Amino acid sequence: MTVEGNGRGGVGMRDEGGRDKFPTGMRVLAVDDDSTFLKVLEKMLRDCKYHVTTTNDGATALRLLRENRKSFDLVMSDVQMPEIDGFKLLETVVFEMDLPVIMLSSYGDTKLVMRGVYHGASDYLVKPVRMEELKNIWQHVIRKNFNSKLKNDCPNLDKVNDREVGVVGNMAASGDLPGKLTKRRKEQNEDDEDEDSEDGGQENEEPSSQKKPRVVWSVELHQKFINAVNQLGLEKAVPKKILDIMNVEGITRENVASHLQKYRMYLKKARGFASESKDPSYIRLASLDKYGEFQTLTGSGRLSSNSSLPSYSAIGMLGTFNPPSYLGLQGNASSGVSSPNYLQTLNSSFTKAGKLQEVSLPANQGSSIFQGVPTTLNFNNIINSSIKVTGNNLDMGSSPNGLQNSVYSGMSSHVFTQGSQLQPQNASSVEVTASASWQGVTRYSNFPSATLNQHTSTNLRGNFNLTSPDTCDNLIDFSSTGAISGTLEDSRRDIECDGGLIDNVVRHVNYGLSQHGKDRHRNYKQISSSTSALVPANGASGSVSQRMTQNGTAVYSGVPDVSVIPEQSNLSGVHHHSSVEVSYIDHMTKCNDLSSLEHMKPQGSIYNANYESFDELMNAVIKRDHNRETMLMDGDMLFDASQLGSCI
Amino acid sequence: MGFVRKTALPLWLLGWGAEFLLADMSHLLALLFHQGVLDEQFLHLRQLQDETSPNFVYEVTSIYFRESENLLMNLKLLLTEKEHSDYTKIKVHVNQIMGSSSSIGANRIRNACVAFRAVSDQHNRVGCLRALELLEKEYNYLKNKLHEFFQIEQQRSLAARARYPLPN
Repeated sequence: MTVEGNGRGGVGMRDEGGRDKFPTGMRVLAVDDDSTFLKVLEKMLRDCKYHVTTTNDGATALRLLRENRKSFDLVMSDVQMPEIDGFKLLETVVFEMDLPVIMLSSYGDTKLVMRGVYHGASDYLVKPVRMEELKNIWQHVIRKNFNSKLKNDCPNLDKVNDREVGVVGNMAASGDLPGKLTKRRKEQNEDDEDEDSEDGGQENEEPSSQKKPRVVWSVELHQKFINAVNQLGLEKAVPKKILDIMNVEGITRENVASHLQKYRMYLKKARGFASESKDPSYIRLASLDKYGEFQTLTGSGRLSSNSSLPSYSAIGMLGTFNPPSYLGLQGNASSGVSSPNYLQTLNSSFTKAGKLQEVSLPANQGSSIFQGVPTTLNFNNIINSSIKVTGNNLDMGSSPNGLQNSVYSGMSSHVFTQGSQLQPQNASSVEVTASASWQGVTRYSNFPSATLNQHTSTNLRGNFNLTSPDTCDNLIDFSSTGAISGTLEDSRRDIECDGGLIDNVVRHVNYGLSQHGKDRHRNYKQISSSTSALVPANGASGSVSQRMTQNGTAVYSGVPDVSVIPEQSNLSGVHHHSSVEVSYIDHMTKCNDLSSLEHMKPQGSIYNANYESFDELMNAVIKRDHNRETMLMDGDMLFDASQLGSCI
Repeated sequence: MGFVRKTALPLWLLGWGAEFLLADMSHLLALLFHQGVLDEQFLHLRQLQDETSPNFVYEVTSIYFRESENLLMNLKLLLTEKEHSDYTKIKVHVNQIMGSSSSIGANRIRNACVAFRAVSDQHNRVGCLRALELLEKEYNYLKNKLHEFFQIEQQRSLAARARYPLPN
């Protein structure tokens, strides 16, 4: 949906004159028992050129709204009023009338804000309200309409998948991302509107009341998938047929479709990389700036894909191969929505100073919107298990929160790369719960690196059996690209997570990450000598597995995996990235007596090898794991391992 | 203030004192800011005043005083009337005073509300009574000062218009 200023899609301007001038003329209903404040607010809103109606009384407000639902665009309400419960009013307006509601209060404590969010508030302002804050409240109107629109689009998996893959492919080819992506995304959205695209379709398919359990793409499952695809031929592989051939219970066509999409993206990426030059300067890649280093990536020209998949190069951390791009990209965009959303978010993250397009899910969906997070996790999962793709990630689309994928901001890219370093994990099917967990994560406009780290770390902990020697491979190299500043706090205001906010987690991570320098390179070197502890993303260090519950609330389970943490874990996340890296190094050291990152040579010296193809790399990785673990890898390599060097 | 000593006529009648009055106003405001009675929100209020709302500040503060008066009275009743006070209601009232006060920039009153809220959370009746006393004290002080302020402002606007004393 494009913001055309006329507020199409339900934004209030019904009268012709006001249409083109949105947010001018936006109709606001303000409810507060405090007349003083109301008067001041009214004046301020009028100064912002909105149309204002005020009332002291919640009952009157409801009556006004019910009389004509379309008569207002936005409601602002105090939450602590004597006669009527502000939160109830909030809920009613949000769900019954589907209008964005902004909460007001003298107090801004966390609990209240959280409550507000749970009850469906689009924003929370603390009195006294400043003019600057009011100038931007119109965004909630747009956002709400945008999300509604996405959700209303009917799913059409195959068509969408193909188209989206195509779109993504196109985007990959183009060098100029932000504008194009946004544009394409918009176009696609518009097309989708007409063609029953899958944008948000997944959500339709799975209304919030029927949250399906996430499908975990275990190795066996993925193997079956691969077999089916090979049997059909990649070109002819359609989800329905794949599903039939696989003959597995509990998987829906949507699951397969999103997985297929990711796989295709991955292949595209892998092929692209295979043809790249082989400069193993992953360290160079590491120098992503805090925006996900798209610039670096694109600059280096290594990535065949557009910068929207920055992560790949960024991943360079360990110079692992780059299949992640596929994963990363698709990880989030499991549903049809994903690619464009994801890319768009990526773009937007880069273009707008990291301000990612926010996708807000209705409160009752329970999915929070998180940006830029999870892709990596997905990726990690996928890579780790040599294709142990957690269904969660892939199935983003199928969840009601399919949109969340799109929220992933550019960070996903490097998250992926980092993830790629993970060695296939033997045991645990890495659940893509990471993505789920991110759902709970507050949305933040910053870069992924922070979130990624957080998530990846948590995810890693949770999903990987880090205690085993194999786990060293699983450590994700967090060399965060620096960025996420502690904007979590700031972004909290913008939180639109309706369920399972895990902002605490994110916050921790962010803080830790924000201190991160941009220079991964440096970090690595530091790491080798640092002894910072591995810091789990949130308080629950170690194997915290974030799981998305039925309603999308991220649940942390598991006990901190102490063994993973070489030292006292600094839960405050101050040294997050370095911790991660250190821990990685520690693990590597344990495993392979490596002393520094650069010299790290996991068994089989994968990193130093010059693999001609991704396949080889994958094979090596898998073999290595295979030797160590009992993980069973069939001969088929799921991913074409791009050359290590080219991964970068 | 604002009287010429010898003539005992208000300055504004003589058409002189506009500048003095302005100085007085500024001085008063500066004093209030310095004391922490008012904060920058009050300045924002003044900025909001424009041609479309020429008496905005005055109107808002009038509403504020009226409402706060009621709330304070209610609070007193809630705390003194019955054996067991309804702390929820008390809290709601305090919240509202706090909200209005912060909206006009009544800083000290707002702080007094914060303290009041803390005590009411503990269901401490004596504490609440004391907090209410403090609140009332701050409120009265502000009320007086703002009345003074508006008086000066009114005089100033009159003085600005009066160039020649009118016969009647």
